[in-house]
Amino acid sequence: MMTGIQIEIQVIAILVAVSCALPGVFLVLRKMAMISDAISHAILPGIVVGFLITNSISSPLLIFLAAITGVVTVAIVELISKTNLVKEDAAIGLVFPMLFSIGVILISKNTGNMHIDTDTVLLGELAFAPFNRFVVSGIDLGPTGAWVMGAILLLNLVFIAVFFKELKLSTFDVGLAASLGFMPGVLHYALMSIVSITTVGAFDSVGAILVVALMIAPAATAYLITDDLKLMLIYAAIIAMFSAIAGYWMAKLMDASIAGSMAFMCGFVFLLVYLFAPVRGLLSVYNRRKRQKSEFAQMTLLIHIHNHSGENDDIEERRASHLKKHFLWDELFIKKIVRQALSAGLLTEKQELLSLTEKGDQFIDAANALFTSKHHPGFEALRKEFIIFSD
Amino acid sequence: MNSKPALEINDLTVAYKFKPVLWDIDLDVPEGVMMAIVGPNGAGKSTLIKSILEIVKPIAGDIKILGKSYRNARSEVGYVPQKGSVDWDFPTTVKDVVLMGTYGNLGWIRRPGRLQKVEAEKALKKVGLSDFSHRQISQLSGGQQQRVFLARALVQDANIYFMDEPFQGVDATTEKAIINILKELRQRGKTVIVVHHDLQTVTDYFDWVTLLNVKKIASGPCTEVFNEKNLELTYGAKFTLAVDQ
Amino acid sequence: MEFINFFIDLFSDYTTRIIGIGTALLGIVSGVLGAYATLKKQSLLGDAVAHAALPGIAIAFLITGTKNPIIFFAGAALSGWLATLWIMGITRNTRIKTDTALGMILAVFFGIGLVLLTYIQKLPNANQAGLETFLFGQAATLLKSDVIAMGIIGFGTIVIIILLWKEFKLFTFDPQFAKSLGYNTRFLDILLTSLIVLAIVLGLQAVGVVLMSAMLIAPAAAARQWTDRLDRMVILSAAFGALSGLTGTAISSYGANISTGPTIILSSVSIVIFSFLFAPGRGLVAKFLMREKNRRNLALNKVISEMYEICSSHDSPTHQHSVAILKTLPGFSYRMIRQLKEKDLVEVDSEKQWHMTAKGIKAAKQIKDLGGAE
Repeated sequence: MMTGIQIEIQVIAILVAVSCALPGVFLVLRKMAMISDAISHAILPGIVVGFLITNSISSPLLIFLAAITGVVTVAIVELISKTNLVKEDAAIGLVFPMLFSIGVILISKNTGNMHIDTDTVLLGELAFAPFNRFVVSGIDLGPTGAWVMGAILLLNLVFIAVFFKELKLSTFDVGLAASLGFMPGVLHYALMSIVSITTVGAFDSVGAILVVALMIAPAATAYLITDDLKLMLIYAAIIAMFSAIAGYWMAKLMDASIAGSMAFMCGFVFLLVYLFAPVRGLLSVYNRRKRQKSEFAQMTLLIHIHNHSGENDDIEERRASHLKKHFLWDELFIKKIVRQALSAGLLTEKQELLSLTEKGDQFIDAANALFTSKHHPGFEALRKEFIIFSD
Repeated sequence: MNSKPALEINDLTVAYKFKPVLWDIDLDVPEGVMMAIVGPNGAGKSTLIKSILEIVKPIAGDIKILGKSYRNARSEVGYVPQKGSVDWDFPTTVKDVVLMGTYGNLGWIRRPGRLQKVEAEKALKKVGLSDFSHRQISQLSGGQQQRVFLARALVQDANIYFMDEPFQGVDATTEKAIINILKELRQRGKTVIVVHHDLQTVTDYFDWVTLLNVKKIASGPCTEVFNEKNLELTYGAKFTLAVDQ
Repeated sequence: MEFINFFIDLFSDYTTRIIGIGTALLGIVSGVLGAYATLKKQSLLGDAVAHAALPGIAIAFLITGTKNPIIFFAGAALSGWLATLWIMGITRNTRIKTDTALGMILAVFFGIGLVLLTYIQKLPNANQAGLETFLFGQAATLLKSDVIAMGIIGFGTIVIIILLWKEFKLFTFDPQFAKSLGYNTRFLDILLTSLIVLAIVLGLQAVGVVLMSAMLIAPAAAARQWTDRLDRMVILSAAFGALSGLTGTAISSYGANISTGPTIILSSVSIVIFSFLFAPGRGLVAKFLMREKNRRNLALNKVISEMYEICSSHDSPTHQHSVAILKTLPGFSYRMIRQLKEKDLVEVDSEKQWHMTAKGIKAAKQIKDLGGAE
């Protein structure tokens, strides 16, 4: 039986996870993943100034100021990139440390007034989140973190839902989006604002590093599973939720950092998918490559036999033992390929000479078509048997 | 006439993620010719050069340059890659880039010395860039950048040269300069193999041609091989040649 | 200011000397390898490897139970190295791009480090402050033994760079040509990346995790603005690195009383900003001045052409015209008359009548031949 506090923590965790995962999908697709790291560090001065003014870490003014700092960061990076004095990734790596340093110095100059500790800002601690209550006219409505993140999640959902097709188009085809009047520039800054706001909101609970993990890892994992943007968003959200919950329980078990455990879980899920995903996972790719390699070699062999048969009949070239001379394949490999071609019914061997069968001819026709056009009647018959003919 | 071919390729097959890029290529190129390699985009022309130079690894095939393996023939080979293949904002001067052509013969650690610098200056003079030797390379026009690469290859003092689209996007001066150098190389008995993008000028500049579209369509003297039928097979479209055969 | 004392103490005080040498060393190594990292478009590797070093340090502590800096360094380097391999693997084997791989590995590894650290804190001999130094750097706590170790590693790194100077230059600029010459580019890639990882882990002590990326990028970015030659860029980068290291440490320990990370970074970013603005040729100010000069030249040429048109419509080239006519020309200003007079292209008499000199006519013709002032 879970305690009230445990439930509250997990609720906040889920809210943070999904809020981060959704805009993260767009960051990954737009090749702007590192911006999340940049923003999460660069907003420190914004938070500090906001804190100096409002003296509360959850005030909306603070969130607003910090979010503005995030957007300003992106603007500065782009300004610098435009001068062409450095490349864009270098610009990112210069701007956020500069802002972060300013933030740290601001903190240390105001140590008297501050209750923020750079550790907490960077690392956060979800365990403390339930202790910050949202109290309205004496009624305890739950932890502030939940309300803040809930609002942000709603904002993100609405933004993505309303501007889905514009976001989709400007992510995959900026030129077209611009010519259709979708103002990809404005959309870009809107997205950056969302990322900023989400980062700031999540800071209090999970700290800068986990925000980065939650934005990037679930999206990257989903990217390995699907091509469809809608599905990618859904999968990313689910993976993020799972990582959050699993991370929480791992942290409880080990009595360790909750944020760190969640980040670890994100990575662990990615690793599993990276290795075992059905089409793009490494294991799957490795098996497919092995088969393709052998089928490809058979194809090479068959073409070679074909080229030296019929009109250009060349007995020397069709001798199995001759293959080693020009192909430079090693003995064992040659034997294996010849054997595979024979058992697949593509070749016959008579007195050490190899010849094509009818199926072999069909194979060659299909192979020829493989790079001149994608459609050939011969494919159908062979497609099931040889993966080199499937898409 | 030398019986040893400058380039001998047997059964060369190259694939990228198991999609064929070059397929069972057989090619014999005699010494002293100037040969163009033509074909549509994605036909594998650059890949052919890169396979010969062991930049790309083939799935199958045997390549001999001047009768030897590439490893042994390396010091006799010169290479002019596509100019789009580097970042021209790199902090280096024209002379510096040309000096890189001498690195192959210097081996590890040794730096280019007086001798190499003289060679570099000579090459720069040949391509008409002597005045630019201390310029940073991004300050050059496209044609000048191409000539820098050419000078670098000249410094390699090779017997067989491979060039990847050297005429692509260059001005008239550069085009003339390159042609003159190719002619001079040919006069000295060198073999020059060029991936060429412009069908109109093939017969003007080259005496041999190889038509390539993943497979070798045809290869030989232009007069024998550069005809409408072969072009149609290569490009899959009807061609009318303005030049008589 | 108090921190000037630092530079004075550098020569007289032992501790200050140690710290000074240490930060300068770190700055030099970061500067040198940072040049290659930025040229190889691996700028943000500094950020990723810095974060990824944490689990290595934590495990090193877990295994050995001591806080020996050499052990920590080895752990951090190994962890950073593995992270780099993994990043390369992901980009090579899947459709995931470099930036995503960097960000993901960065956050996940750091998270693992956090888990390990908080786990360790349950053990009796753990120290919370260890993390603080890792996060923000603390050059002011450098010991002689640290500096000697750093010196050896730094020296070794630089020796390799010098020995393989032309190989690294060629490989970074044109890896395919390098391969065609027979160089083992795989080996060069791994070696150079390893050196960069070493530089990053070394630099962590000065500026900490968050700021490491700038430590690697800033000196090189600044240096690039002042020279077009690789050798000068690398040397300048090293100098800027050392300078920002020393200045930052001075301000931090003697003036502001905060960790060294932020002060070092702000020093080096200041150098970058200064370079971006004032470097001759490439700098923004220089570019602006050049643009203005061109614009003014263009306007002047246009006016000369117009004046020539006016003159040509009369039989005699010395026919006098009133200056008032010129006021109708676009872009005209009285200053131009003075300029033209100084260049001897125009003659003006006391009644504000002007005519073009022979030299002026010749100049106008030249402008026309070159295709006009436009």
